[in-house]
Amino acid sequence: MKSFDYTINDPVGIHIRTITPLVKKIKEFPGHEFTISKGDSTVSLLRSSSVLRMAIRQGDTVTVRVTGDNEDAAAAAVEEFFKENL
Amino acid sequence: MISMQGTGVSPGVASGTLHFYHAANADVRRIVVSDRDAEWERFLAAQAAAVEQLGVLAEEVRQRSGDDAAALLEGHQLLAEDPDLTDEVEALIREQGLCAEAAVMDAGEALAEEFAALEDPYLKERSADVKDVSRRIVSCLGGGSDAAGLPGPVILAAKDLAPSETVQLDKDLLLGLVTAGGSARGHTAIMARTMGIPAVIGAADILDPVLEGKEVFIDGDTGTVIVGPDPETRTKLLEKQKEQRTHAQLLKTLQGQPSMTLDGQSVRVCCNIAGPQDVQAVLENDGEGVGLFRSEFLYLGREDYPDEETQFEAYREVLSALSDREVIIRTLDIGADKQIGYFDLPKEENPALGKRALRICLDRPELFRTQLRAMYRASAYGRLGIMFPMVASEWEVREARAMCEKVQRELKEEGIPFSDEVKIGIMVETPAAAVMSDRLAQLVDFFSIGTNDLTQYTLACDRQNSSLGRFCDTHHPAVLRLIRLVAENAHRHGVLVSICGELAADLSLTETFLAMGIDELSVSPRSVLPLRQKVRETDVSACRSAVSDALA
Repeated sequence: MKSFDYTINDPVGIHIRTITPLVKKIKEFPGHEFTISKGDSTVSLLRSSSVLRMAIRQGDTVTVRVTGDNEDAAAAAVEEFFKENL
Repeated sequence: MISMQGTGVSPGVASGTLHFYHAANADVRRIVVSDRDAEWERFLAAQAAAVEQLGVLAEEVRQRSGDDAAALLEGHQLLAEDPDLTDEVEALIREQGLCAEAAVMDAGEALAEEFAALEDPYLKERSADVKDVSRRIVSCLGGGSDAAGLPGPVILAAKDLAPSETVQLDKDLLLGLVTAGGSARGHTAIMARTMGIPAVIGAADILDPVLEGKEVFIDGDTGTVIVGPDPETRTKLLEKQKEQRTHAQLLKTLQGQPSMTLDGQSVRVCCNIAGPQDVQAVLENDGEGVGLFRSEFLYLGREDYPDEETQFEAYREVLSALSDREVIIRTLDIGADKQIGYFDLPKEENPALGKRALRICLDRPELFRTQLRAMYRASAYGRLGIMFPMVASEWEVREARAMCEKVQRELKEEGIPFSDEVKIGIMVETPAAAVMSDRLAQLVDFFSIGTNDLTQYTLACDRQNSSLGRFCDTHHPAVLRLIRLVAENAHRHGVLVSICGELAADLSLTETFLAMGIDELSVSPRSVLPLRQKVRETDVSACRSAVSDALA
């Protein structure tokens, strides 16, 4: 398992326009599991409506965990996405 | 290339994909199935079809309007294959044996409610997206239909649209409107003008199934509709579209300028609006106030009466946003062509002459009282005028005013603040009110002439009947004489007189109205600046005698 923490910079937080390319990105790593945690709740990053309903806003710190054969590369790619878009 | 001629009712040239509107049908079949596996397979196939449809649409929109516009549809695509929705549907099918249509509607409804319960206003709105997506899956199952949801930016074609249907449309996706039926004074046309969307009505063949999905241009000025234009026509139309945008830009230079004629006569140019959503347009177009706030739009598109609090919030929002500009709210005006299910109004042979507007309010005092309470409460937040529609007799005004006084007494006793400077006025839209305007003037602070109804009742021409054409002459001297009579009687008694019907925006009559001394013209927000331009080019002293000769 590989993980990273990230504090959201985007003024509107994680919303439907950013989650669409994010899901596309993680689908580049089939067979891997991605979760996102904020506070006590954790959901799969593929469950977009659950992620949206976590209401992740600017200033919130989230933890992303990746499990899979190629988890180093997958985590790095997703972290890169967060930095560029969120 | 196919060319059609209709009537342009809202100016501008629009181009886009032609999309057919299908009336809302929320009822889906709700049965228990025996083969649950097969039902689950049916759902998966419909879901895949919906995802594919959305992908195709997103790509089309990307070509036309860029990535930003396509993002919404891609978001819908994501929601269509959302695991939360899918899991819930699977549970409903496998555990309860519900048919796929009902399972999708129920699961979509539950998920939409979860979004609606969130605090974040942006996320709250996703509730509508979830509902839209579940309707799309249901329509892929072959049931129900996709009502208000538009598949992307489109030119919408319909037989005709009811006001409740029009208000549900996503204004951001509606590029233009074309109907097979309808009438220039009907509500579709009025709504299109308020939204600033080009519209053509009476394009009889527009619903030919082979046309759906084709590229279409509509010209809201000339009424021309062109499907699949050849390259030459296409260039010409795009040129015109560009020209109009430049003109709109030019008009912006009139912002902040007084609406005053060359010889120094002022007229107030105000806006007609349907609710808080139109306030932005009033400000952008520099409306000098609201001459007509159609409160019935608060009652449309709902399942039950809006309570006092709901109405108060809407009125307060408008009044406080426009602070020092006067806002005239018209009390409920339903009946005739505006029907609302939960009112349980009996079917009438002749609704335009039936129980409508103030007649309903006076016969259902509780309904009237709720609305007046909401209005008076909101009066503490701005400058309010209250206006009663469909007056024919003096006693009606007295009875309505008595209700206003009752409401004021109640609020005072309850210690709820309200303004004691609320103006009271009436619509003059029946020939009776125009003829009796000398006496009615003694009962009110202002008159507002509703030319649409005044024309229909004076000329005995149904405003919904597009076949009347030349018989329904909106410039008929009988109507203009009545308007002049009302203005004279109003001024004799120190009462202000406004025109809030469609005629107010008719630039060929501006000189006539100014010569009559009309104090205020209230028009859709988009018409404010063109009208101001016309006023500023007019010399009233030069046209006064011509106008009185014409009406002699």
